[in-house]
Amino acid sequence: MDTKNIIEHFSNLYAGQIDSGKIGLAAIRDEAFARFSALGFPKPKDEEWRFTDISPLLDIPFTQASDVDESGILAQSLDSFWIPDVDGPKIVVANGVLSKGLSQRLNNLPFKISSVYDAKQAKVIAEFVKNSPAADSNGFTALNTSLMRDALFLDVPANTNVREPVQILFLSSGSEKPQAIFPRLIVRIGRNSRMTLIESYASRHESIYFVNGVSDIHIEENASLHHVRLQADSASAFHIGHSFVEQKQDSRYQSCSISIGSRISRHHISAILDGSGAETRLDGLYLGKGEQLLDNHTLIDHKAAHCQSHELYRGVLADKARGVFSGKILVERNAQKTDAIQNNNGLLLSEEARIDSKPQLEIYADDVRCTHGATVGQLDDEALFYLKSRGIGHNTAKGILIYAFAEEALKNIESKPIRTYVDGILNRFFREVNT
Amino acid sequence: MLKIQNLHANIEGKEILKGIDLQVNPGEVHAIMGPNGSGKSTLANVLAGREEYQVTQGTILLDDQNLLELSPEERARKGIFLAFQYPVEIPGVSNAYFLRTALNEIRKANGLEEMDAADFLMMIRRKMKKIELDNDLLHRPVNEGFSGGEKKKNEIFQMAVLEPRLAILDETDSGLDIDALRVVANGVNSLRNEKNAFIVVTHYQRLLDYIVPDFVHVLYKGQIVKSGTKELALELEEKGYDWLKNGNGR
Repeated sequence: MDTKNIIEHFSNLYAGQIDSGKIGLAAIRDEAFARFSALGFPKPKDEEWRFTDISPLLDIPFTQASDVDESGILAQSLDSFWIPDVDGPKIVVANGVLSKGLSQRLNNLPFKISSVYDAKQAKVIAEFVKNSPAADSNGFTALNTSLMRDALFLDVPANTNVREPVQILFLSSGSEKPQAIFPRLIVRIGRNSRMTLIESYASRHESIYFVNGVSDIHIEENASLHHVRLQADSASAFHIGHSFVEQKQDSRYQSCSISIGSRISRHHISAILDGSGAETRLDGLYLGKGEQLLDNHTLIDHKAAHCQSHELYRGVLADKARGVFSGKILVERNAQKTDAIQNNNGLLLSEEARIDSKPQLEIYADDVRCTHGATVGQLDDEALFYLKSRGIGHNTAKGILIYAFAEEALKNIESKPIRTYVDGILNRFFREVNT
Repeated sequence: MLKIQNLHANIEGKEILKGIDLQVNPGEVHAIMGPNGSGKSTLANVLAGREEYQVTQGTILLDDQNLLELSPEERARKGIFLAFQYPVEIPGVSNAYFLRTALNEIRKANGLEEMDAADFLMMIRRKMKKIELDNDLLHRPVNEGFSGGEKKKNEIFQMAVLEPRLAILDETDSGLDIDALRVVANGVNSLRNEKNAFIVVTHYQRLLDYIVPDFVHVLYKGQIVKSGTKELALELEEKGYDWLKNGNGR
């Protein structure tokens, strides 16, 4: 479809929204849709999308995903999506809408879970949506704002230690007709509070669908969020996700973004360090095979002085898979004593795999320490021979080396059950590419 | 145990080994000496099965089995061990994990039960003491950031754990100070028994003061030009390799 047809197609979806009045965001959504109509989807000549050709996505006439019939899904059928031995709440957002029926352990929590359908919270949520950078960042985020059917809001009050990790499963039901889903998440961690959050994306059925999600994350003074994001959508799905993180003074944000699913996926994180002493750690791991394209874009905006950011993304690509990494560190004029490190390393397991890496530093303060590094390579034959010469079989030796490479990006996941679960994903990937 | 006959080997189309004959019996230590470029390391690597080398002629038998048909890992499981001249750094893989994986793959291939983590730890603690290897090296990534001496000691430590039948030491003495050399030699000597054998490849006679060989072979231009007992090493030390180059080899 050309641009005109695409906008017309989504206009029809927009006009046909069944719930547009209900969720109290009509004006915000109208504005966002106008923005989308003006922006359209990114074009190949846009510098930010140079390596990521989204045209296969534009050829599919997606329909707005419908409500999921909760009674048609047994809660047990979602068991494989939950991390074993984690006792916190398990929140299901099905086709973009909070499903209380499929969620578990929502009661007696030290924080509030709500959605736009909760009258008491609707106003607060509307305020977040209105002020989110998503409203006008690009066509995708504007479209999310105009077509989202719900927004999930996690609100952690001040001085609260949420002990058990919170899991959110963004489930796509999948159907014969390709569906578009617009998940929206808002998280606020109050002053001096802390939480561990697992945000995962998956489907029970292999099917073509399009996830276009936005997460708005606010971390107040001296608060801390450990965030693991797991994109494990269907092999023929499309996934575009934007995380907008805003950090206040002395706050800590630690993210690990893992991408393994989808035919074409992109995760963009922007972290704005808006108070002195804030720390950001962005780790990422992308594992691709077949003809997957996995794109990670990060922007760390150092607005305040004495902030630290550490970033490590690692990619392992087999077959004809492609990886894209673009990481920008922006140090604004007042951000003296900034300490920023960025690294991206790729491991190619085949001649046809490929990674495009684009580190960017933009520095307007003079007393800062910023470094970046990028490498792309293949398995080290010397190391492989060394392991084999000690009796370790070829495939095991390869697995050991790939695991060691990938693991570096997972080191900051402190929760043991989460780490074990992610290791399982890694091992499955190795078995699949190592045959 | 090992029988090499008329071995010819190339790397990148260049012939390095030009007809090697060597027999090693259980309980023996053979030293292979020779000037740089004579093919010593090539011989060691061909025995271990490094893929870059092509064997163009000849045979290597290990207990009547054709070694050349086996992959490097299969050779290791049959008891071949190469102590590398340049041990490889493997970031992200701990020494202990690496060794336990290796040991258990070898044990499995030989019909033995895998060793569990507790037994393994007890066993390696004992062996580390012998090699005077620092305990924290065990939990560090394989060879990463190790000093030259630590790397070589780590090779000998691996040998002590894996208990090969035929160990090939490829210039293990190069770059070692006298203390490290003594530790390495003690390690080898404590492992010597009537069932295993060693091939010690070295440029210098010095190591052979500590690891006393039963036989010394001089390799020159891809052939063994002289064989003898440990006295040959002393003679070489005294006269230098030029002595060979002047035609006294044959």
